[in-house]
Amino acid sequence: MSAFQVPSPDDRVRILDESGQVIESATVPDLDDDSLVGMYRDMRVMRRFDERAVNLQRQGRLRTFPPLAGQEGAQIGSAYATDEGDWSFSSYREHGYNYVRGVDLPSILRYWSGDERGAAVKGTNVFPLAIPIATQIPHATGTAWAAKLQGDDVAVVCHFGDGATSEGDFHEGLNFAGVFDVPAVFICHNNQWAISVPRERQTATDTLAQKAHAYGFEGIQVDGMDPLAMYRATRDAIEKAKAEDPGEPRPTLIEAVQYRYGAHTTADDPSTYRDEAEVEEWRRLDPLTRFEAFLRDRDLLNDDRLEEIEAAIEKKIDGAVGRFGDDPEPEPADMFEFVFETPTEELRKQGAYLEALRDRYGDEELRS
Amino acid sequence: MPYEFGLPDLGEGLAAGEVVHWLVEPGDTVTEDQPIVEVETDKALVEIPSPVEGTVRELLAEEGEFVAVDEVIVTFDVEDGSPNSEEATTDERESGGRVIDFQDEEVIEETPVDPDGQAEAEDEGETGRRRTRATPAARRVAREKGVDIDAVPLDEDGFITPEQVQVYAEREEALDGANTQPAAKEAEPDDERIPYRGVRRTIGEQMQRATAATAHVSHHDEADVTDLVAMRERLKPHAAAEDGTLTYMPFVLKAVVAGLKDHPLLNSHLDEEAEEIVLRRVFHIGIAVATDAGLMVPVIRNVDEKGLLAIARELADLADRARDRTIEREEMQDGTFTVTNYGRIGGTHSTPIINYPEVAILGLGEIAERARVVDGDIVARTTLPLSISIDHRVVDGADAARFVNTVIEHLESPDLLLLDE
Repeated sequence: MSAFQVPSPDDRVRILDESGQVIESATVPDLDDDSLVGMYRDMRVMRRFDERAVNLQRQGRLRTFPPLAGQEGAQIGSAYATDEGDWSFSSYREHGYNYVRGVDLPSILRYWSGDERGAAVKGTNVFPLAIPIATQIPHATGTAWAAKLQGDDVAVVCHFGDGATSEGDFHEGLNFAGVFDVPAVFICHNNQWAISVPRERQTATDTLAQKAHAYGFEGIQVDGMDPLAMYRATRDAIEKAKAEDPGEPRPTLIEAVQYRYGAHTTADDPSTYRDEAEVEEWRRLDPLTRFEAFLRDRDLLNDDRLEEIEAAIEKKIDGAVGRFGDDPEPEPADMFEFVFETPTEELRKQGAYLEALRDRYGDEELRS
Repeated sequence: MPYEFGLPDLGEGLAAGEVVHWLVEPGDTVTEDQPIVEVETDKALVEIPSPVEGTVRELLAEEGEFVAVDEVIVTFDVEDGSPNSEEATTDERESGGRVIDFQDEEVIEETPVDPDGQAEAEDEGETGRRRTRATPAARRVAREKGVDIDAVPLDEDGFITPEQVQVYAEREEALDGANTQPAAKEAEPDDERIPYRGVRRTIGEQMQRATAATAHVSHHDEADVTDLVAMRERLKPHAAAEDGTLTYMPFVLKAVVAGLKDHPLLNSHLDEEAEEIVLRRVFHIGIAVATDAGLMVPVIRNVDEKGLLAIARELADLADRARDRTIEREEMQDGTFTVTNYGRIGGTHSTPIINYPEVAILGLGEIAERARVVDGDIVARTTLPLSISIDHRVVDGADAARFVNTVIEHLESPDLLLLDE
């Protein structure tokens, strides 16, 4: 597809059909068997992790949690396509992408329990996640620009949701990415709902992908519930971003068309704004079901193997929940620690002020 | 050792939730993550999964009750008292040959300490003073009014709003006017705040509904119960022989039934939708009972069919169970008329609130010797002050007065009770 065409649903990148069969015109990405099974396993880890995390919130052990069920394909597919040295930025829902890239499950639980040590993602090329909408987009563009100026052979992957495309930061970030031709891959997880705002109330354009047109680079729509399609689209975008001479603008906007099965966060009740029948309709495209069918067809998965995987996942998540539960209480000073390598002047002042308050009033008094 | 489970903050920054439906009972065994209760918050209706594996020990919130975040709603008996699955942790850590080769998960490093001691307070001057958290709007009002923002009392959350500054400024001004001395800082009132929920809230809502939905009128009178007192004294030993305690209430209830039979409008309710007044053919009389949790109204059914002693026994039983809260909801429903006996505590007349949708309630004052005029002489007689409130939409003042007259007649000549069918 040429860079300046408006994509239509027919142009959507797809590899698997609804039943998990490879679409006639499509070719399966060149991934080894272990990676294919690994993608499936990691999607399943996240599906189960998601359920447990929601329960932990209901039990009062997490403060809030944004579930990802339904969006595993887009997250795991794009994560497998990201090279180890690449940098990534995410919003609050991309637990699956970050997990594949080395953020461990207990850290994710810590973060959502309000323990800032969960934001300590040292040893990974994953930036701390962004709760405000779209603020990470200019950061990603800046990081990609810096990489280009320094001649580093890395791409920067930036995740955000459909609602983020209505923010000024989206425009600024994508505009600069186009102007400076930076090695960035923007993945818009269009899960149809920005909390209670439906996709058709988000923008009057036919697609979100076509917004890239305005910034002078390619925008493509992908079946976000097809992990192979997401792998292919992300891989192509990363290779183009890092190519010596791509012959076209480096950045790409990928609109991953998918659906959020659950609530926006545990503080949301989707039954007040959407019909359960709509959810059921999208469940027919479930990434796990389709990918499982694909792997069974290739004899990469059978009932025994599946049982092994399930048992291992259960154990792994129990272990993660247990380890999270064993954490010693965080220190109040931790909240200043894990975003900047060296704390800024303002952060240092705030930290000092907090300590002074603690000295003066004691923790009991401050808690009440 | 029981594991106490407090209501979590199910949204972000919620203060409370309503217990809608319990999915377990005391004695049930539960597994971790098994749904135990449905709770509705301002944001959503959610199922709460059990935090532990164990046995439900006690449910501490009733269905329909509003519970504050952190308030314990259920306790469990658990083996080790810990909500964490220790075994799983150990397994995971010790298992060398895992079936699936997961990526290694780095165990979080110890929290880095501040090596240079940078966290030391750098400007002592700042920290000694209170830092007022106020919005720019509040600061502007303070500037305009010439108020020291640091002197304005903080609200519960430690903030200052423009309204608070305004109120403070006005108070200061008033104090200045009254007294040229610099106004002394008023102490913050040390109010106690009692949660308005559960039975208290239910009573409040019922009272509000009753007064808002009806046209309340009260009517007062007095019965000379000297003969009734004598009659009760005679019957008391007989009642005691039957293992019963005969109070005045059964007599009053019998007299009320006689009144209701003669004046059926007082034993009715208004069906607003059908635009019909429904005259009840049964005589189910509620008796207001004060309990620690608040007012409850158990109902004695078919008072017309029951003897004095049977009524006395039933009333004692219902009142006891209302007080220890073992009374069933059905035992407090379907009343057709209510009697409230505030005279137990003292007083003569009151304006009782109708137990809506009933249309009348009779209040009893204290039975005591009072000066009455009998045949031109002032004599001491034992009297019972009566106060009735009616819903004037259905019952007119004359109906109420006639009803009370019939009641009085039966209380003053209790032998009439023998004639009632």
